[in-house]
Amino acid sequence: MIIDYNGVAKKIEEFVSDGLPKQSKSIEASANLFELENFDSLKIVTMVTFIEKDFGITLDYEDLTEDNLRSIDSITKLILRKKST
Amino acid sequence: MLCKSTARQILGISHIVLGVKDFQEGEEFVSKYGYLQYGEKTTLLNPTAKSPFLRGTAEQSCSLKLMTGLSKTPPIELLCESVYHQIDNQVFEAILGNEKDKGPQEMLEVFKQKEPANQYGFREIKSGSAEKSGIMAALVHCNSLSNDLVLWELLGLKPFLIDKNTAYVKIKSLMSDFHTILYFVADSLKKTKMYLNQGGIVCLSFLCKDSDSLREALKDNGYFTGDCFTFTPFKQPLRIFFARNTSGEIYEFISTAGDKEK
Repeated sequence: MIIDYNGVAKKIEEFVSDGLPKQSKSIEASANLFELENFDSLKIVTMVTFIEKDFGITLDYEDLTEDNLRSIDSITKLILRKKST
Repeated sequence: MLCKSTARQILGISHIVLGVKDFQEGEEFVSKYGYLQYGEKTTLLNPTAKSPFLRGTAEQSCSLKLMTGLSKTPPIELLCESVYHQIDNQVFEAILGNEKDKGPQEMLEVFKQKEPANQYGFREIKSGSAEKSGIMAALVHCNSLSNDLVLWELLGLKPFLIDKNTAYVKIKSLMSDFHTILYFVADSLKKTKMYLNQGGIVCLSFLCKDSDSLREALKDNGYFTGDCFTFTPFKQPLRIFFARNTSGEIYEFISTAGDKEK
């Protein structure tokens, strides 16, 4: 499966914005996700499962840093890095 | 031999469970450190999966309040069980403070202070603003250091030895890069089997990828585990199980329920 940055970022944005009010559904790729109302530790646990299943990668404990999880951009780059290894 | 399927299952620390006789007293204590109520559930019938971790009869119910601090440190769950037992000899202790740059050796010195921990098992680093405090570290009094550490190796976390009687693991929070230090100190006098319906820190909770598979793996490795059950404390259904380590201390493992919620 060929995956590109935009395709991955779109899926992550859809996942992250699920549950947000309609007016805040569009999230900038660089926006700080930790400031979103619905982005708590349980959302991250669910996102880890979603990413592993959808992209066929394994996220390690060490991957789940604040830097890697901060934005749609950083999560997308993490996925692309893991896919390429 | 360690089962590799459990490795990399742990995602981070979730919270610390503080057993209280009544909420008012517990809230008064944690609010001094800036903790505010995030949510509350009252009079929940305890699932049978919790029975082995409760002292006494099993028809008990519980109420809980999740308290979050201003810092990015782990929240505190106030757990008020319908049948409560006061004990004097606790397995867990914890440090409240706001000095995040303290190293493992410096933090350990706080646990070694002559002044005993308070009735909940907490010690305090008295500097800076108390209202911005959080849980910096926790400590487990264990019967056998080497036996207790096997669980952590099994969970994929690397224990560091300080000396022959002391070790620690660093466990991160999912919402920040803050790491809670969990110390293990060999202490043959502390042979208390912990229960959830007693006072003080009764349990440490961790987030994991899949509670059901982690439970199976721990069980396969000889650990005492309760059954997994689905519980919806606030918005999201969770899969939860409790397990006991070799010194009698209790850990809770939580994942999101996904398609297992039914």
